Amino acid sequence: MSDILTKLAGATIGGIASGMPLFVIGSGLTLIFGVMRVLNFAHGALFMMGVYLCYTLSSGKGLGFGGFILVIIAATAVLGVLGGVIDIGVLRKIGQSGDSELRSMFAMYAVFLILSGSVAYIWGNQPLSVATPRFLSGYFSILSGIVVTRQDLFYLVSGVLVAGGLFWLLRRTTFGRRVRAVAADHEMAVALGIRASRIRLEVFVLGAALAGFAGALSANLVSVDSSLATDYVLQAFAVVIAGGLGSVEGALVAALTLGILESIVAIYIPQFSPYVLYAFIAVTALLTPRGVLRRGTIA
Amino acid sequence: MRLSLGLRGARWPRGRMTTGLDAIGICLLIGIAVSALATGPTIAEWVVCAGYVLFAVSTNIVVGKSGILTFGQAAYFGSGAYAVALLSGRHFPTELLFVFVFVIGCVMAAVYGLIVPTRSRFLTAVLTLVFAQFLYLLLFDIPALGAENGLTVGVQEPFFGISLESENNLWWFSVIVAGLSLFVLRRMDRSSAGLTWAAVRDDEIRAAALGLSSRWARFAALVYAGGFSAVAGAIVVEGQLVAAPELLYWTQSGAVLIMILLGGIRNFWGPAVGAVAYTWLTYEFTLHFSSGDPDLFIGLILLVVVLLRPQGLLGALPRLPVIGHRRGAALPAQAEAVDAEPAWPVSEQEAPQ
Repeated sequence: MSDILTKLAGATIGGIASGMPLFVIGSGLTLIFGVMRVLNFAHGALFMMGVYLCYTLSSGKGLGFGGFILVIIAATAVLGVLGGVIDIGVLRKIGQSGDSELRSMFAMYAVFLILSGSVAYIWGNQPLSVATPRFLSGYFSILSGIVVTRQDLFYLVSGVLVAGGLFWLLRRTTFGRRVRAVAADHEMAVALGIRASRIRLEVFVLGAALAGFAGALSANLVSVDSSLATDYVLQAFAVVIAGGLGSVEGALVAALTLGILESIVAIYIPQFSPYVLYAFIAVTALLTPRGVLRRGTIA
Repeated sequence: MRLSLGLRGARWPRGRMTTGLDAIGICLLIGIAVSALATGPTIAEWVVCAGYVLFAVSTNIVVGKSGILTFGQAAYFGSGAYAVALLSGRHFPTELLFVFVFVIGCVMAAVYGLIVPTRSRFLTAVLTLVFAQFLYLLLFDIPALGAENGLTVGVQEPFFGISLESENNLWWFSVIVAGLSLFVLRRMDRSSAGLTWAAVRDDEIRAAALGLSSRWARFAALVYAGGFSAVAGAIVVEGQLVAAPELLYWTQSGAVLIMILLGGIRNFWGPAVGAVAYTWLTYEFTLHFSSGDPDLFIGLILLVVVLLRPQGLLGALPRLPVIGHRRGAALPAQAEAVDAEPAWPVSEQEAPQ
């Protein structure tokens, strides 16, 4: 196989892998928007809390496989609980009146400020780093020289697991049917006897847990400081806008596209790589405001 | 034809000569109070504060008055700051400098207003954010603009023969610029332009039936807000003496929304109060807790306001009397009808329960 093709294939695989954490963040955000009509500005901050939790739990050592899985489960669970607290303490108080969209958006902006501001008190101002788990270092090559790192393979597997799990949950379970009913028509769902406030709580817990999961997944590749909250909320918005507000399938397609684009641009025209994210949002929002699969609810 | 209809939301505010004099009066009183009480470096803080007041009030004609959710107002704000920083020390007459900055802001907002669809609230928010972030990133790639260090600001040319080197003179200069801008904004708020914006925000279909073009009314609001936000950035940079890329970062656009919400989205003076409260809180905070992050504190206050007092700090106070308007005059009667509106824009999708 020629050199160029090998390089391109490597970049594509790396891009798909790096798109998986984006999908995990974006799927939570798009679920929350689809069901609750809340533009969750705190989503990047929830991701950041996942990263910091991973830092605290792994305590500077490169973990083994079992330890790392335990840390990921713990971060996911803690963020889920935090999501429950936010829903009951903030969003439920705002309720569902006609002006709730804007009020809840600003309430979540306040939560974003609170979470990213509290980091300095808990973990200090200095950027930290999380050691790479031992089983994730190293790489292997497939098909005559395409290099795949173990990290990429880990992302691919966990992304596929999350995507499969979400589709199963939303399409094949009673819970999923209720969630889709509330997303489609809140009042009709209530009239049919669905406890919408319970569904909203469960969806917010799920979304926050997914953000924490994504944070724990990405912890060893990012510089751990409070700017994670501002950076990753934009990434998550990009995925959600491009995929269509409220569409999980769209978020998957958008996240993988964004991952591949960023990876290819980083190899061939590195000076443009900071702009890729914004160009991607602008182009997709102007051309397909309902998302790449045209399934979003335009809001 | 469409353009002329749209200009109903854009034309120079008519009405009584005295409309908006309350803005001038308030600015004069605060100007005298600060120059009498504050000294030395604190005056520079007040200059910055005056800039943020103008930033918040001008942004609110987009957010509160016209109901467009913009998350990219920092683009115009920062561009005004950088324009002043670039032109300082080049013998550009100060009298023209702020007019020039206003025009830059208007042109940028006009170009952008033609591209961005303003019908969908969340798309507008995200696209304005993207635009501001693009400019923010561009700053790092242009060495002439100082990259991540930004540009320092030299002393301006004398303003009508008065040197701006002393802090007191600089303060009065910024009071004059901010006061004139607030005067124009206040006249807009109380005029046919302001009524048009409110009409388009509250019920687009009815406004269209009255012959108002929502597209051009929103466009006009965006352009004016862009121009005055650029002037606000120019004032701020005169006070803090350095134009840094952070002025264009998206959290700056978030900060101005916080100011608006703190003070009250439905009150002309609300954002001004919010801006003073915000700058004072962050100033005190960094003074006393130098190691911490003021965001935690600001976020807690914002959360309390959103949950317990959604109309903002000023929302429930009696309105200031509008100087020069007799009771029963045509304009205030219309204006009061507009004031009897919910504290927040009601969304198009869900009817209030």
